[in-house]
Parts: sequence; structure tokens; C-alpha cells
Amino acid sequence: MTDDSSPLLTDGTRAPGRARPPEKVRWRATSGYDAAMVAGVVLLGLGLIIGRADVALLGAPGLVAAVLARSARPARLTEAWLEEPSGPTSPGDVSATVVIDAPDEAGLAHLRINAPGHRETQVIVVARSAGEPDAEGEASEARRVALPHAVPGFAAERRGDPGFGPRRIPLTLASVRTGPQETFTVGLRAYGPAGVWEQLPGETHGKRRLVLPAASPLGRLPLPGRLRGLTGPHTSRRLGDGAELRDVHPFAPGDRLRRIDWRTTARRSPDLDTLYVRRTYATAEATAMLVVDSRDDVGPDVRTWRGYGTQRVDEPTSLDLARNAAASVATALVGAGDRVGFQDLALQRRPLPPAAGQRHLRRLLHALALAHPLDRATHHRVRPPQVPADAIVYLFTTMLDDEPLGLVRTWRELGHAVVLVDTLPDVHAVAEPHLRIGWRIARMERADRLAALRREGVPVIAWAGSQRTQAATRLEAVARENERLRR
Amino acid sequence: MTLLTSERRRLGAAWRTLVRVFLTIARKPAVERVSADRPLPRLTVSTAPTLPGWVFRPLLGVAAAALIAGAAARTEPLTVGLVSSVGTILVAVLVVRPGPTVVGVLLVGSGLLLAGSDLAPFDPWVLLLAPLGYVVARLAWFADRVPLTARVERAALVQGWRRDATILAGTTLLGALALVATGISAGVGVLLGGLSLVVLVWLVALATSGPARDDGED
Repeated sequence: MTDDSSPLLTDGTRAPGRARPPEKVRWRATSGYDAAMVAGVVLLGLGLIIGRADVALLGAPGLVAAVLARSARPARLTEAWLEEPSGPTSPGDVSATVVIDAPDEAGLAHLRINAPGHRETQVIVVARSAGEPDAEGEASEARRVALPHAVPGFAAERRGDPGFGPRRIPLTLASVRTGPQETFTVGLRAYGPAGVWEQLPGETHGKRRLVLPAASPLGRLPLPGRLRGLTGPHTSRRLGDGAELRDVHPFAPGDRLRRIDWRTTARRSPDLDTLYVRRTYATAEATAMLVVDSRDDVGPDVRTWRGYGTQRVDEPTSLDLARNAAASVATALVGAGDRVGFQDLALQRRPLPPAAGQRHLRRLLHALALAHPLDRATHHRVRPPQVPADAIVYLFTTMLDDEPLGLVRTWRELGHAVVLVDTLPDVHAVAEPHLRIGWRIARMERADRLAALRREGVPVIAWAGSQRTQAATRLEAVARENERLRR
Repeated sequence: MTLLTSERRRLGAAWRTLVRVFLTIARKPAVERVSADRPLPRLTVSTAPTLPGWVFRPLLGVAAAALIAGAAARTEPLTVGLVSSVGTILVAVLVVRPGPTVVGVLLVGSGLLLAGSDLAPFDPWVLLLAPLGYVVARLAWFADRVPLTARVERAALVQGWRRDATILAGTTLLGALALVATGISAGVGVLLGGLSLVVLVWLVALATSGPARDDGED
């Protein structure tokens, strides 16, 4: 059964019966109205009784304002929703826009904005924006969770409000974390003219977003000892169709006629008894495997390492650093035309096989963002993941236990080059004596492991905040050293 | 009886130990200033220029004190001590709990103080006190609604200024008319008061009538 008082649905039909929003949100008169009326009437009566017009006049402004505002009850509820961008999100750039759609009579909007790991922010703003009406259809994924209605398909009729548009308020998180992130929670309470009317509060939540790791620019990177294939961005030692000249050789069966070097032939064999051809090196591609040790995710505060307390969102954890380092290496390698694969140590599933191209790079970045620890996996025995032959392995780990040590040694025994990227963040000073002693022991054990790897010839690149700026230089130095040894 | 030297030395050593223990406990070593003790980061909310929420309480206190003092200054018989103590308590309560009830009590109290003025039936000071009372009511509304750590857009403070200006201008005009009427006759003053009541009744009638609203209410 429908009637004209039923609300209009988005498809143009009327809802059956009289649809009410599930919450009892409405405009209601505040106690300020009652107090202004009582004070004004008391002063008016007192003035009339004692014959004092000035006493009667004292409460007149508040009384008249309350009566006028009472007659200007807003015609509809104020709605607010979050507009979030649809493209990929990078750390430090998680933002959204609160859009407030208020009736003519609604004066102010009180917003209470929360986000995980942030302080609550409360702000009182003008509910309507003077200027051009907002044109709907912006290139953004508007997640309209209208306040206070949560009934799907419910669309309140709106009267035209010429000259004013919805108020848009941009919000930005201070988080530098990556991976799945909870965003904003916005509570709204609206006020009518003179504060006489107030709308009961409602709340809307932003959607969970996947923050992709950003890539820092890197130069040359270490490559595997042997390159594969007959095409690629690098020059190999084999004969092939590359650009780098190998030698000038007498023509042999199988050589192409267009490779004949007529100048050399004329010089060495004027009678054309022997033809000489230019032979070049073949090109090849490198294969790299990125292995992220996501078994733990520790921050700079040692007190949060045992799972107690909350890690701050404005400080990157070891997993954020690993994602950033892996994304930087992947971007540099894919940009150079090499093949890159990915393996997550915490998750027991098939690795992302090595491939090249920008589409594969996006897959890599998504896989990096989704890497996370499952439980206290530091106690689990880790099997060395299978790595393609002739691939170089980049291991991103905190080295807080002996498992990465075993992995590196296994890969090296199999003939793979390994580069270890140390992703433990700079740890803050510890106040509690027992934690200080524990961290000191862990730090010394970690230093012993890293020193052992360095002695075995494994390059160790630190990626913590204080040393990240030198990482590119260090990697380039390792690349040059490897190239020199290859020759 | 004086203390022996050895006893004095023991007492002195005990005091020194006590002071040393106290300083060890009270002193906060630098290592405790870890980042986790810093306040959590804030969201970035882009708005127009704002004011902090804590500003309204001292402003309210000043305005309320001016209202009480202005009304009390017109009353001769009351002692300064009585007025200042009661007024201070009332202003303090208003600053701590700026609810509409306290504002109403303040306005009625100011009216009672003004009733003791010698310039009956109309003291011209009300032409200043009435707008000041309205300002106190508006400041109290903001102080009540805005948390101390919140922020308010400056444009929000003057939102509806036309309505406020109209009301204050109308009040001032009414006061001027009353001032003139006091010099004419009491009958004219009663007539004006009656007319004011009629207008008020008409406004209330307007407020309680009207079509149904599409906002979920009957």
C-alpha cells in the first residue's frame, strides 16, 4: 500500500506503506528554547507586575529569537556522506571528503571525526556552502551513506536550494602505514537557527582501503650471476642479436648475409675470397625473486612487540619498510625490463611467478600490500621457498630470529645470489629495565647474525629511516662489484 | 635538651637518604621520553579559519560579569560585597556549566537587580544590557556545545547575523519607544506593552502552525 506521504524511491516509485528510517533521528527543540521562553516570560511578567518596562525588555531579545527560530523548523534532515577517491592510495595520502547536504534552515553542523590511531577531531562548521551548487557526477567513487537514513533505496525528496550547495570538507589521515587500513568514522549533529533546533546524531564509516606501498627511486641493482634467455635489457656473454659488438669473424655457415662487414672484407680480402661478419653479444634478462619475511610486524616501540599496546600509525613498522623496499626494488627491476617474482614467507601459498611489465608490477604491489603476519609465526619452522634457477633473491627481513640465516645459506648453496635488506625500524629508547635488557640481548644476537652473513659475502642493506637515503648508493655499489666479478 | 653529635649525624644522613630517594623517584630520566608517550597524531580537516573551543568560556565569563555588574551598578541599596560574591558565584557556575538554565537564572537575576534602579519605570541602561544579555546567551550556547579541544569556524559564529541584528534593532527600537512613552503617560506605556504581547502571541501562533514536515516526524 502506498500513499503520497510515502517517500520516493530511487527508481521513481513510492515505498510501500510509510517507510521510516530505522533510527529515530529527527529534529527536536533544545532546552535552550525552553529556558529562553521561561526567562523571557518571567522577566516580561515581572516587568508588568512592578511596572518596569526595562525589566520586561531585558528578556525580550532571547524570547523573540526563540519564538522566531521555533517557527523555522528545518524542512528535512541534514545528510552527510563520505566521498572517497577510487584510484590507488599511497601512504600519507589517505583522504576523503565529507559532504554535508543541509536544508535552508539548518545553520551549523557539528562533526566528530575519528580514525584508528588518531586523536578525535571535533569541528563545528557552517552547514551550507555559498556558491555554485555542487554538480553530481564527479570522477570519484561516492560512497553515499546518508545520515541518518540507512534504508536501501530510500531517497528523501529534496526541495531546490538555489544559490547554495552542499558543504565539502576534505579529510586526510596522518598515517604512513601500508596494507589494509580502516579510514574515517564521521559523526554528525546538526543545529537549526539560533541553536533552538538540533538533529539527533548519526554516524557514517569510510570503507576499508588498501594502501599500496610507495616506491623510492633506485639506481642500478645487483643482478644474478647468470642471465637467462636470448632477449632482454642486458648484454650476456653468448652470441646473439644484441647491439654490443663481440668480434669480426670469417663468414661461417649460419651467419646472416646482412651482417657482412664489407669494409673489413675489402681491407682483409680484396679478392673477396673470405667474407667477414660482425658478431654481437646476445641480450638476456635477469630474474629476481622478492621474498618478504612477513612473519612479524614490529614497530619502533619495543613495548608493542609482544602484542600489547597499539603501534602508532605515524611511524612505519618493519612490514611497512619491507613493503617499501620491495616495491622500490620491483619498480626499478621492472622498469629495466627484468622479471620479478614475489614470495610471502608467512603465507603458505604459491608464489607470484616472475614476470615483467607494468601490469605485473601492479600485481606485485597489491601482493605486497596484502602480506601480513598470521600469528606468532616466528616460532614456526620456515622451509626455503623454491626460487627459479639463475634468479637473484632479495630477502626483506628483520633478522630477529635464525630462520632467515638458514634460508640465505640454503639459497647460496644452490647457487643463487642473495641480497639481504634489513627492515627493522630504528628502535626508540626503552625505559623499562626488563625490556631494556631484553632488547639489548636481541640486538646483540641480531648483530651477530648480520655480521656472520657479511663475513660470508652476503650484502646487507639497511632500510631503516636513518639509513634509507644511503640504500640506493649501497645497492649500486653492490651492483658494480658484482659486475666486476662477473667479468 | 640538645642532641648528641652522633645522633645529629645519623639524622642528617637519614634526611639525605630520604631526599636522594625522593629525587630518584621524582626525576624523570631522559630515556622515558619515548615516542609512544607522545600524543596521537591528528587528522587534517580543511575548513575555513577557526577558533579554539576553549575561547568561549573566558569570553562568556567576561560578558556575564559585565552584565551582572552593569545591572548591579543601577541598584543603590545593595552592598558591593553581596553583589560581587553572588555575582562571582553565578558567573563561575556559568563558566563551568554553561547550560541554558544557568543563563536563564543569570538573566532573571540581572532583571531583579535592574528592578532596584532609581530611574523607574525605564532605566536607559537596559538598551545596553538587553543586547549584552543576548550575547551572553549566544556565547553560553557555544560554550555548552563546543568541547574545549574542538574548533569552530569563525563564519559559524556570525551565522544568522541578520536575524540577530534584526532582533537587537527591534529590541532597541522598542526600548526607545518605551523610553519616550515613560515621558508621556503610564497609559501609553501599558498600551505599548499590550501591543507587544499581541505581537508575541501572533508569533507563537505562527510557530505552532504549518504543514507537516518530511523529516520522519508526524
